[in-house]
Amino acid sequence: MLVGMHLRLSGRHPLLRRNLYQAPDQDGELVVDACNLAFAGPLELTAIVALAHAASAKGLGTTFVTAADPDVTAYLQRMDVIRRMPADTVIDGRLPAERRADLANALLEVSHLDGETADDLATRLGRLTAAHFSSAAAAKIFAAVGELIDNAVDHGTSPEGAFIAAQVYTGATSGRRGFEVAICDTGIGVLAHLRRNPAHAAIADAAGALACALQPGVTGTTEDRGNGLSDLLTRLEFGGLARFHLRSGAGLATVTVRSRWRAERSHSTTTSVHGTWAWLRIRIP
Amino acid sequence: MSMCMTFAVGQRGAFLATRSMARTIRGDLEERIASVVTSEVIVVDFGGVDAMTISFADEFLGRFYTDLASGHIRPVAVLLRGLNEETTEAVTICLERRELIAAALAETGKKLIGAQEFLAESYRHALELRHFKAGEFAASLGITPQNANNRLKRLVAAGAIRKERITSPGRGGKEFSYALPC
Repeated sequence: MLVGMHLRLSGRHPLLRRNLYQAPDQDGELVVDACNLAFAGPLELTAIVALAHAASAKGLGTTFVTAADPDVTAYLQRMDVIRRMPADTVIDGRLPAERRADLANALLEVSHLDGETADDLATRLGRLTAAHFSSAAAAKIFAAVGELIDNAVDHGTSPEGAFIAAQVYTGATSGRRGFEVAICDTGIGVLAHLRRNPAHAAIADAAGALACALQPGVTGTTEDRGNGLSDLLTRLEFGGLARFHLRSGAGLATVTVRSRWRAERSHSTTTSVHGTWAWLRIRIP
Repeated sequence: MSMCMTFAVGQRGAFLATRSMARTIRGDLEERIASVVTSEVIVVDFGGVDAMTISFADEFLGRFYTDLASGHIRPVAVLLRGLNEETTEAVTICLERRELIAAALAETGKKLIGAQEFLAESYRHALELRHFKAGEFAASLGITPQNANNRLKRLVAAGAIRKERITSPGRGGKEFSYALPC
């Protein structure tokens, strides 16, 4: 588990890699070292905060080492990473003076996601996508992201809750329009959840559980449901290029969807995370 | 004349995601059906709803129509209105999974969603007949009375048409007629 660990975040999107760079922490606490972080997205933002809260729930402190690149640290600060960390988090490094423009139409800062906030956050994401994309594309994106939100509050519950962040990319600099969202919860994880259902009690490991969870009708409950993740992927078949990562325990599932073509892979990982991390990026044609 | 009540889903939000929200809205709908006993036709209006998840649709309409078909809700006629292309897709998927059907008012007129072709065709005939007996329905479709009764039973269970007991002078036994709710 990434608690009592020194987690190094370096380069671009380090948490999208299959294996994360970590080492035991001498003091048994959580150190999130973003010193060499060059680019972060919603997954890094939400995972950092979720990790810190998971550590706090175990009575461990967190030290956050800020990025050497002031732009990266400014972005983390603007997206409320520092604000959402547990109150006793030690910040190691400089924080720039905060300049805060209202960008509600382009991004959703790291926000606490639970049963109380889920519907308001879903509405905000619906408006955000509707402001940038065609009504058909925005509705498909919302239907996909809404399934993730519902999954997190329905299955990923824990006292610490879950965290969500999102951003619209207008394509002004990269030429690629798109939308990116991440939800990291601190719940029991996919493997333990599915094993609650006797029909799935024999699933061997986290990678197998993730592969299973992507299939229709697979649920940890005994109710006739379990289509959320499968429906999410189906909703992405509207013409854009979508990438979906689902990490839980020592497993990682990756899915690429382009129109009706889909590739799914699941792997065992050397690093085990507490809860479930979901990341979705959609490029709009 | 049937008393009609409109239940505006769009007042709850333009973007509907969670099962929790769906449970609340379904509870409100069922409470209104139970409390306004003079209403025989319920129009569930999705005007103003831009998008919804399939999970929301299932928890709201999937379970509502299941309860209606099983008699847990007072028998009423139900018509969905104001669905757009995307929300129609979500509702259709959830109904098909539960093998349920629903009558909806689309731009082109009334239609059944979630239905196999034989039931959709039956509903089209009911729309043309408007007020009819089972025998007239069977004749219109060119099917046996037993087959017609089976189809009518499903249309009634979904609230797509209403079934009324009628009294014919000088004739014993039960006799029913069927009608479009509005």
